[in-house]
Amino acid sequence: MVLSAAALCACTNLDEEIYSKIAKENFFNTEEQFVKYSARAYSSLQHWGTEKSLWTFVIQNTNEVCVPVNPNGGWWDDGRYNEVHVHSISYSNRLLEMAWDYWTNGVTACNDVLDMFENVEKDFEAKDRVIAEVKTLRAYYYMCAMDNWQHIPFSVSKKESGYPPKKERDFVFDFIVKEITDNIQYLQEEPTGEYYGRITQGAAYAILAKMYLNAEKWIGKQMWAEAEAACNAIISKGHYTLASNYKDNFSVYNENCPEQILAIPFSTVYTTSDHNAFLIYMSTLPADLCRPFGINADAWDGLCGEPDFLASYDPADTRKKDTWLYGQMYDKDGNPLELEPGVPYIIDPDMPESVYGKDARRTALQGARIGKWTYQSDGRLTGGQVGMDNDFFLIRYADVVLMYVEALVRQDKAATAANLEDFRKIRTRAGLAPMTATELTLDNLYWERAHELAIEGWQRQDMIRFDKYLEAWWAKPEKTESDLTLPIPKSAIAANPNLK
Amino acid sequence: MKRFITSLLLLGMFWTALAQNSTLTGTVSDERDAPLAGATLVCGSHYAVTDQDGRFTLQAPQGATVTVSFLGYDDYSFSVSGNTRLTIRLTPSADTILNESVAIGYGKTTKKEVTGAVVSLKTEDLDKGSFTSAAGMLQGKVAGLTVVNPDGGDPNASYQFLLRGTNTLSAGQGPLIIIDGVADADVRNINFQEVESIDVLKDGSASAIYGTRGTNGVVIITTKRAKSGTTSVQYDGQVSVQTVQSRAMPMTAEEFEYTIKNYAPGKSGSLYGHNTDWFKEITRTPISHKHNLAVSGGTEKFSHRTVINVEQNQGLQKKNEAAKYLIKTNITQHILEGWMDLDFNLSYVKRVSSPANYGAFRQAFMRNPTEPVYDPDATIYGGYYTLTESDYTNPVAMINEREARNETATLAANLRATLNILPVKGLKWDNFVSYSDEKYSSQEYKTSYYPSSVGKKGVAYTSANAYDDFQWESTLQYSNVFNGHSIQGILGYTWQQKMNWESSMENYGFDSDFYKYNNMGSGTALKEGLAEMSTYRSSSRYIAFFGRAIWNYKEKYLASVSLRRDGSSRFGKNQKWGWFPAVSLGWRMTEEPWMKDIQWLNELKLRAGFGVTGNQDFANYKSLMLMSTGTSFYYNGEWINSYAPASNSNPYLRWERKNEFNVGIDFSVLDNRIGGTLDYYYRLTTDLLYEYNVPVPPYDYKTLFTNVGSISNMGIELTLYATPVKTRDWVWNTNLVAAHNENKLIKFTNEEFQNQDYEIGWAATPVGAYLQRLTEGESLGSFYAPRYSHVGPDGSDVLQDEFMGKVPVAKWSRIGTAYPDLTLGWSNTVRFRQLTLSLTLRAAIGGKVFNSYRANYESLQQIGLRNILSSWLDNTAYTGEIRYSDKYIEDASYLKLDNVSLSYDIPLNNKFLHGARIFVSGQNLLCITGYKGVDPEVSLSGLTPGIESTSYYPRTSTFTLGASLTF
Repeated sequence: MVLSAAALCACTNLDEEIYSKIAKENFFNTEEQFVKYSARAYSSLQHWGTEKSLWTFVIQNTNEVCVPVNPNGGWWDDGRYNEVHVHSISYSNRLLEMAWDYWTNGVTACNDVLDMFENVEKDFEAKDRVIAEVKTLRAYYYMCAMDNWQHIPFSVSKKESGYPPKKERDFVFDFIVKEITDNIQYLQEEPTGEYYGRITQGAAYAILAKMYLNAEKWIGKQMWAEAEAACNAIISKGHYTLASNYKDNFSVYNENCPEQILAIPFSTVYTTSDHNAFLIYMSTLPADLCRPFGINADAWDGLCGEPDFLASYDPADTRKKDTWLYGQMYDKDGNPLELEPGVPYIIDPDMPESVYGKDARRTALQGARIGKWTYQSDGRLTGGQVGMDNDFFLIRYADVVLMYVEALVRQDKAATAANLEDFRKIRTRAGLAPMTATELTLDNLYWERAHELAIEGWQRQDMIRFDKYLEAWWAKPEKTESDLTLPIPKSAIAANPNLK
Repeated sequence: MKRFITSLLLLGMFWTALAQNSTLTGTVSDERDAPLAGATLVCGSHYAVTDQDGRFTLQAPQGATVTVSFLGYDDYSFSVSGNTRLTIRLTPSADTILNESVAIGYGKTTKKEVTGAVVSLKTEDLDKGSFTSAAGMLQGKVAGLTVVNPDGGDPNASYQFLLRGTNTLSAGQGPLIIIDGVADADVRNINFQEVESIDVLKDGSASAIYGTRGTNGVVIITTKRAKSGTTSVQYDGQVSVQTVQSRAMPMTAEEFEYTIKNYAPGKSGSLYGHNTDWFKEITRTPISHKHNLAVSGGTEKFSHRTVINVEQNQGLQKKNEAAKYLIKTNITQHILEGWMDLDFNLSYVKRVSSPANYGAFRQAFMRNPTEPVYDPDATIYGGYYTLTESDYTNPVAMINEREARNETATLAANLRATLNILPVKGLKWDNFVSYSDEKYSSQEYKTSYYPSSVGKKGVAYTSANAYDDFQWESTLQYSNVFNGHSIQGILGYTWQQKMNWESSMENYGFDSDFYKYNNMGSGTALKEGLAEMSTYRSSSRYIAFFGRAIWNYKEKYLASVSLRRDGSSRFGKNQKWGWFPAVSLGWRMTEEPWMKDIQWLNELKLRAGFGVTGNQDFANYKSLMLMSTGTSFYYNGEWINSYAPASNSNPYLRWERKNEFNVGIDFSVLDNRIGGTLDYYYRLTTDLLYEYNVPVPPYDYKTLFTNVGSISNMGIELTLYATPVKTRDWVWNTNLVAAHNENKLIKFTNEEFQNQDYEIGWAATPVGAYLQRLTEGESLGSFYAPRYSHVGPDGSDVLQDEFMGKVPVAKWSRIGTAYPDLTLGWSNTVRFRQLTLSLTLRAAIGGKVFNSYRANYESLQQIGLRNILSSWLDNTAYTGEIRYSDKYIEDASYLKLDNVSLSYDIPLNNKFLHGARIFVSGQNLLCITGYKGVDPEVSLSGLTPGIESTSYYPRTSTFTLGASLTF
């Protein structure tokens, strides 16, 4: 036995043996593994739909969503939700940190993937296209960064030494535009099923359009004509059309919707963790609505529609009911719900500002809830980190149409815009009359975008672009210029001295 | 297994009686001819105990050796010859205590020769009573060693150790436990009644011989071994019951109704008209019993000891159980004419438990007492009264609708083969091979009516883990005495490999609750892609070379030097090996001629030692850059795995290093009636490990586990023992331990890794605050809070320095630290003839504890659907919201009556029954404290010590009746 032990031990060998993970050195052997590695650049997008993400941050930061303390005293959490809504955000705010992580994780993943591709001699058929996709995706993550922060740490390769330097908006703006225009030719033009959830030329032009449209606010340069051209590059090709029904964009199985340009696919099976589950049902629904909706969970009863935003809809606008849950509640089969026999379950979308704050509480029946993405009622949603099956359309065709209209209006071409068939359809689809050229003011266009794209994550930059962001609104005081960008989170500063 | 039983049967044949007996009679007396009652006479399998007049009768074969022993006296042996009427006079042993053997790791020495801070406890020093683990016997017995059971009356609870303060930021805090030579052994796998001695190596000079595993001290447990000459069968049995000693008290239904009607009439909708004591609904009076049967015997050349142990422990919570079945044998054999000694151990331990549902205690606390338990109309909830609110579940359903079972089976074998190289006196080569194979399995089923998973149609979970541990240790040892120089040397090599394999499955959606976890494939979640499955395997290897030399001259000047070269697979590839030196010196001044004349002073020894140890108690693979399957990605119409880095590589990852300096005095006076030990230590731990945020890029992953910080601990420890009374009938032994430790976080940042102030210990809503901070220059466990001022006219707490309804975090005060200023343990044994009374008290003075129950549930605002603490009624002026302040950070000082036991040795003169003792004991009887929560003695481990959890198990008092019979 002693001898066999001696034979076994190899006396001083302390190498670690790995069984359930793979050492980096042993990973890249097949082309398939490269694709699986690049997948993480895309899967970083899935963070968007989680409980604390850049998305949930920006919708709370605008006049769309507020989070009053609920009847059980939940959701105060040291004021972190309140801070975001009233624009007095502490740099140690957890939501801010998570919002920051969305784009930094994305950039890191892209850089890592690109570095790896550079280092590997092995070629595969779609290599140029995959590289162009990842570079454009990185440009998108940088757009998220410069949209919200004045200075950002900038890095395009892991080979750079030292901490990433802090860069200004002008620099990042130029980088993004150049990166996309250099790579757009390699991207897939036609959005076939194979490219669902991936960067295509359509997505790249849409990102460019966003850049140009916001250039005035971001770098002090008007680029309306460039924005118009970028939108036109998408519209003129005719690859995308408006869905006949607004709600098709948000249905449980919406992957065949013709309106999507860049989708984040979600699944109850494959995206079920705190960094990739689409969890809005847990954040917004009250526990007692879950089982009637066919959801086997006790949801957290937090995010509510901001009362003034709810009040801003035209009574005929069907998008209000398509976006929010308020009024009489119905179960999954359409039967009206009752709180107790004879007492109907009615949610009042109106709330006085006095329900807001640490020591205040809303009642169980106050506050509209988010209902834009159809809740699946097949019982597959079971709480925890089980996310919804609905895919999230980060960019959809209606947004491009409205950007095109805006670019025209800003160049005094309101008449052209008013005649645009797709624009008219957006209005009629919502049960509203098309806008005439005279109605097509910037203010009306702002509200049109707000209602069409509500809680899809663009309202923050839209409010800034239409000069609404600093105004006072429900429970939020008037603010000054410095409020236009967010503080860099404490954890990021701690990790990178260049950000001090 | 079958073969194992056969070998046990073979062993059984050895206990056969011998023939040709003489009948010896006589008396045993002390040095003044006063009779000694209770002295034992042993001759092979024959055994006698003297009566009150010191008289005995013993059957013994001609020529055999009889040994007479009595505590505090030297053993006396004689051969049986013609004389059968004997008068035996025992001489008191002058330095019994000083000559007690002390285990020091890879060897033994005596108490008088030891130069490190080592505490040695024998059976008689340990409490009597009923323990779920031998670790519990160390509570309050060793100065500087804090042993806490944060989970109260849970029969599956584990004890936490803290030796000489917190010395780490993120590595483990448990000491290295060595049981009968097996390192890293599990103390739950032995029976506490089988413990013969426990030795604790406290300081760096003593534990440096264990290198990177020495920082948290070393606990060496020796169980009762096979001994030649005596054949005996011993049975120990006990039965115990528990009562609730302390728990969080919610309002009764009457109080609840009174409070709502008088103070919160707006919430009368929450009065449901029933009267339910939820705590009572989920608890019972637990009864436990333990049986231990030991058979031992043998000859000079071959001896054996076999133990069978059965325990059935009930928990306070219904369905909460823990059982242990242990069979163990130890065989020693001397072969090859004294050239070789063999010591073989084989044990099989099976622990079966039904773990408690901790959440049920919390739900029972906050459950509305006016709700009924059942509601026949709530058919979708299985007839349990249900209100669908988040985190609000019926505790009775949580108990009834869940079935859980854990099982751990450990088969362990080891062999020590010692080659005595006879031509060189005192030289031997020792080889020790040990293998342990542990299988753990766990099953849980939540029925279709389990509250939080209603709708999932039954959730089944199983896991199966396997842990292999192989150790080989080879040492060359030499000891000799010449010209007054005593020398002991050792050179050694040790090799250990651990292999873990873990697996788990979860599925739900069953057609029937009948299957439980026994037909897991039939759940529909598997087909829908919602079931879960995982396996994981890891291994680690640990290698060391070590040497030690111990020298003394005439037991007057003492020295010990050791050096270890230690390596672990866990370390980074540039840092696999480290050196761990130690030196300690001792001077027994009483051996000096100029002190010989001081009659009252029996022993005075000065000790000083320095040693370097390490801590490598962290996870495997922390130094490697590994890729793991990340999120899934929708690619070309199907979901595929993505891959992502899961950790950074850190080729310089190494152990946390501790340098410790220790000085001590051992003394003994007045015929060794009073003695003690005083130690002072300073320990500086550097290279502390912590998970630091790093920028990505240049790093692959967002955190790096690396060695940065340092912590110091400085303290004083005092142990006093005395025999204040010692007469013919009465003996009173008393032992006091006291310790004071000061902890300081010196730094946890450097130029590269700067995390600044860390706020830690997050207390969730409604408290909503970080309770503690990591601040350089301060103790770990430092509480910070706004200062409470008074209750304002509106019923809300007013805080000092409040501005616009808030006290900015920067203005919070440091309230104190969780660690006590002084810990005390006081043990007493009073013997009157055959009656022995022992009593142990334990205290901690100073230290803070966060009262989670008050902070979360002592506010009128919280009442309504949920219950609150009954203590709110003591201050009804306070009607506002909960505001975090120092009013919830309370003084944690306490005095506990840990143990009282009374035992009686029944005088016997029976051919078959040689000894009989019965005892009653009470444990955890009383806690005197100003603390308003459940128990001020909470976990002191980790980075956020002193926070009482809202998820806890009530404290219980245990009353035990036991008997011990020796045949």
